[in-house]
Amino acid sequence: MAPGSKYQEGQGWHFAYSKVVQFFQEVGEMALFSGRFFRTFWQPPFEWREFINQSYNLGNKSIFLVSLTGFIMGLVLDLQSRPTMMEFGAVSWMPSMVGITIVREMGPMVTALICAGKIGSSIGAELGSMRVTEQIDAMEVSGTNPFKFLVVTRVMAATFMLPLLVILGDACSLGGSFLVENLKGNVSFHLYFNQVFEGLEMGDIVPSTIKTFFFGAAIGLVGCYKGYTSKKGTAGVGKASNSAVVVASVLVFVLDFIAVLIADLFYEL
Amino acid sequence: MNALANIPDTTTVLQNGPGSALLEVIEVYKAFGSLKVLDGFSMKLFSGENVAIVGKSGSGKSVLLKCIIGLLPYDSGIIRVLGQDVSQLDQRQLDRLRTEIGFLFQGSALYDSMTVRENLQFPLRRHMDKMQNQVEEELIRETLASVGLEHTIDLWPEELSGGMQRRIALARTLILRPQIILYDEPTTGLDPITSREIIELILDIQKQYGTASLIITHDMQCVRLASDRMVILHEGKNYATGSYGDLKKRNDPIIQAFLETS
Repeated sequence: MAPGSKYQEGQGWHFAYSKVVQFFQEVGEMALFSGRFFRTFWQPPFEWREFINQSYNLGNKSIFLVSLTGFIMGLVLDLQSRPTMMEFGAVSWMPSMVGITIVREMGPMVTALICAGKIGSSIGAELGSMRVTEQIDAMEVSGTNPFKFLVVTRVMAATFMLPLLVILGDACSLGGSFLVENLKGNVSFHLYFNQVFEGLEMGDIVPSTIKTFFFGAAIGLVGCYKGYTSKKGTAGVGKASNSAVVVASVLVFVLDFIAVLIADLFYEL
Repeated sequence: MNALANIPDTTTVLQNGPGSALLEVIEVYKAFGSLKVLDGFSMKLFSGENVAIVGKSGSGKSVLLKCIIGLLPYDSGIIRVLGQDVSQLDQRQLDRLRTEIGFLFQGSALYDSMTVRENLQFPLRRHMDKMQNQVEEELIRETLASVGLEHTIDLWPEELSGGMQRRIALARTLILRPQIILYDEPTTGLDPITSREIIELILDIQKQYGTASLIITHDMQCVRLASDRMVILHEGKNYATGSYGDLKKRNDPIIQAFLETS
């Protein structure tokens, strides 16, 4: 190793080893946290009021962002694809192509990544700050199960709100694409959406909808795990919020890969 | 109408006879790795009395409170609250017992996503869900009035000063009419005048509700004015117990080191 290098001989390996161990520890702790979620979920009473409150908060606060990014995504996708499709004389396939692309992959993925940033970070920061200011302990000593009140409700809210946000994002994307088609190709609203739905099959819609529930659960669980277990004062809150976004985003990609593999198996059968 | 009279009696188990202890800590040991924090600590808290626990920073005072309320498990010994061994209770029993114990956190720990009214409603709605709205409102207002802050009912925690937050936290603790209140550094971070007000409030609560209190503090003025007895927690053990005046007379250098700061 070069003199003056950050790590002495052997230290680099030790560093890499400790990082690997740390990674698996984190995975294990997250799995235990998820297990606790599933155990606690079934125990009555269910916190309906807080669940509705959280669903409203998570959904309502993301509507504008998801709509805007969805709309722009539809615009850009159509504008980028149009010239190529024109070269092949396949411009009439634009609505079906955009519809399939958005419903199967881009809509769920882009919306999930946006929600990983917005919802994941907000849950991580909120619970993290509650942890360091002892609000979670205060809840526990008042005879309330904070895991049930804070974690179960937020994870469930994220699980049920994400599919709705994806549907909204998809609709806005198709709206954006329709705008381009209408302005450049003089395609009517009726014709555009007729072609979109003609191109879509149940095999496009069902798997992509099912996977969004898993995306929502993953975002909620990671945000809650990072916030609920955060330590080291206010710096820990920032770290919890930041790592909630990173881990949730990576997890969304991993889950998407698994969902595509499973869907592919069904197609082959 | 006294709204407190409408609270159903949730008194847990023990009918405390005259002179019986509401809280007993017997030979409790707690260590974090090789660091011994509580090393056979013992004490008792009797009905209606205020006991202050003093000790150096990091001596385990807050750990002791967390063990009493069941937030931290202890390694061995017995902690008996209202006749129940805390370590033997299941979650449901522990939650029920916790409604009889108030806990005032050092940083107040008010729920910052809720207004003052909602902060006080929170424990009520979880433990007395059949309470009528009007009775609930009266109870909240009465409890806020008892800490002198009825006008803050619709404010958010961030709109309150540190002293006001501490009072609201105390009101939230009081609303379930606990038999015991655990205070974790109630005057830390407050100016002398506000500290004095909090001390007076602790005494008022003792008088008005007849609660027994365990006060963790460094503030010797708080010990002198608010406690009937004090316990010196030194090296994990109950080093000395007695009234402030009694301990002041002792020639022990460790006791004097604590008391001479007053």
